[in-house]
Amino acid sequence: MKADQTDKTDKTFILKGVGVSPGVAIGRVYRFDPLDSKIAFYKLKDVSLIPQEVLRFKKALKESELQLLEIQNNLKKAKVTEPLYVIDVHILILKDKIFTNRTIKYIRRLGVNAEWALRMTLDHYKQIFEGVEDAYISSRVSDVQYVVQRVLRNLSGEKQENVWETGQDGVIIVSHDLSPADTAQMKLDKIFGFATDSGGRTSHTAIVARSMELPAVVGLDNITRSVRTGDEIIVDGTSGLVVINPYTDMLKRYEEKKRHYDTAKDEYLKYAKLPAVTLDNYHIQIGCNIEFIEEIPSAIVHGAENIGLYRTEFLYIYRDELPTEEDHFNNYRQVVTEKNLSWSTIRTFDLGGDKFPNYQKQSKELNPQMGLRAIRFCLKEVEIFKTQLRAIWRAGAFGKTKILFPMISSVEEIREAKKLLEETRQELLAQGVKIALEMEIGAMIEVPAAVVIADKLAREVDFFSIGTNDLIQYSLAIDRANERLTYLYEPLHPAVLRLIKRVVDMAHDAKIRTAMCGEMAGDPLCALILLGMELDELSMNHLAIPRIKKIIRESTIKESKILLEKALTFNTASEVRAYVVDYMMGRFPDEFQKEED
Amino acid sequence: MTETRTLKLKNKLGMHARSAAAFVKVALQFKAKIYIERDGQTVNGDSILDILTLGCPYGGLLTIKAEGVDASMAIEELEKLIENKFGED
Repeated sequence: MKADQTDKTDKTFILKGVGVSPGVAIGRVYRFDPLDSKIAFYKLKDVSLIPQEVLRFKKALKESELQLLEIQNNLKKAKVTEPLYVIDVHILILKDKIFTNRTIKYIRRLGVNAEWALRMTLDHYKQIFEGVEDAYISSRVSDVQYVVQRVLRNLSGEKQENVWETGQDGVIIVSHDLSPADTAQMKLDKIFGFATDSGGRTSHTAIVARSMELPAVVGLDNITRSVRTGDEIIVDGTSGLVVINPYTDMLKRYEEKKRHYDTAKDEYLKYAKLPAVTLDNYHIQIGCNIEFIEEIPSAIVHGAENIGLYRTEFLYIYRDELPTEEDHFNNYRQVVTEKNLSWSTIRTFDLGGDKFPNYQKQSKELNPQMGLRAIRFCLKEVEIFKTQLRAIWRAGAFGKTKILFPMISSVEEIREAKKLLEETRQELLAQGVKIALEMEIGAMIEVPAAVVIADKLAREVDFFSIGTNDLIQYSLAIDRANERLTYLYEPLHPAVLRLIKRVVDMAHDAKIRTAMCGEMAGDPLCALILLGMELDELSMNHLAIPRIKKIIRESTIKESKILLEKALTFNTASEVRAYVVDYMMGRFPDEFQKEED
Repeated sequence: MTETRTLKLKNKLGMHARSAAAFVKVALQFKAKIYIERDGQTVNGDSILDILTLGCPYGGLLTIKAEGVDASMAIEELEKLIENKFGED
């Protein structure tokens, strides 16, 4: 213990990962699941010790099972549907006789301790799973790993929640990765932030962190090897940096940054709940784009009036099996019943065949962005699509729901989608299922062809929602993933502005509403330009809302129209940008200076 | 008593984690020993890891064998489960 402390020479070092939840957290490391370094592997001194060792193993199995059952019960109470069957799988692995007998056999034949035997069993299964062709099944080895870790933890006799029970405050969880079962047993109010080896923007850690508004950095590769419980640590979720054992000056700088961030946040949040009404009384609706139910509370805190875009892809991606109608329904119902939201726009899934296990082996598409995806895939895989449509109808009975079809490029597509929607409605009615009385239908406008025929599409739907990310990529013919082309990606390109203006104008001619749900909607620089176009609704990520609202509240529709008119006279994107930047900086000096630091 | 039946997997994803779990749960309810055979390979019906690593895709044929006093009941239940696509789709 003593050696440990002198060892810690407070050497400052910095790791770079992916910031997935903004803000600064300063605290002490808690190494969650520090098993691997602690496991003792040894041979039993005497064969007479074998029966005792087997018993120790069996006891650890039983304890693990009880813990999983308890976690499952707690999750059930919390009405979380997602990870329940995963825990079932884990319990059944614990009960798998072939798995347990193999471990016992190693103890008996080789005279090794249970930990060692278990590790050998894991290695055995790793090999077998590697040999399975199906990539999904092959990856299930992670379940075996998870179960083994839990049993190992119980073998070591370590109590799980020790850090939470000591009442220690302000810990920063450092872990390889976190699963729903891990976070379910944490007391989240004691945690200031997260830093993990693996994961990305959509990993469980990232989602939990964002929903709790705790700073988090993931994808740090090997932070778990570099820190120990008790180390001082800074997690900067905005820049993606993690500092371990910061020296005094650095600590001071980060404390300052944290204060700055927190005050700025408080300042914005003060105005977040106010409506986005210009000084001359033009009202624009502000929605939030979400992907997970857990994001709703922060959406509301940040001032969302509705959910303008609920992406449903995650229902398909973060699992091995197709979601059932109930899976869909349980999620949608939770979104639409939120009292603080005027409505929720559910976008049907925008995925290509590569995301469906059944399609994996089919020919790879050279250009999946323009491939069989979104509405095209749905109209081909009608049964998968109708499962989702049924759930949306049912959820609509519980709160105002709008449906949005992605990637529409022709009138036929929207008609076909509407036909299927009507079919499911009739089927549900015939079955006597409670469904929405009516539903507004929207088309995503993100393919240039849809802009050209916007007047025709407008007669088919109740609203448009402009997806600028794809619209810009397709109309300027630039692959967003290609780093050499990023300089061409320009929302203020005269062509893009004209396209957007045309969509809004055509919609208004047909007396339907137009929303925008792409990144451009949350870009403060574009706020007045979009206002000038008279968009009816802007939907963005929750963090962007307070700032956009503030800008809109301090401006007029009159000046926005003048700005837009002027912007449309320029020949080049750089001229437009220069003019708009200049105008916005002069008009909102506070807002646009902050951007720079 | 021994019962055997050959069935086709109709759920879109084949024998994946959730369906394998459902199968084992049913198999464990019976005294009879349950086996699954596919392509000449036989595994225990109460071992989730064996079933998973057997790799049974959508449309694949499985032969289920039950040995024991309640073999026919066990086969009935397992057949029902597979026919109902494990409650998926």
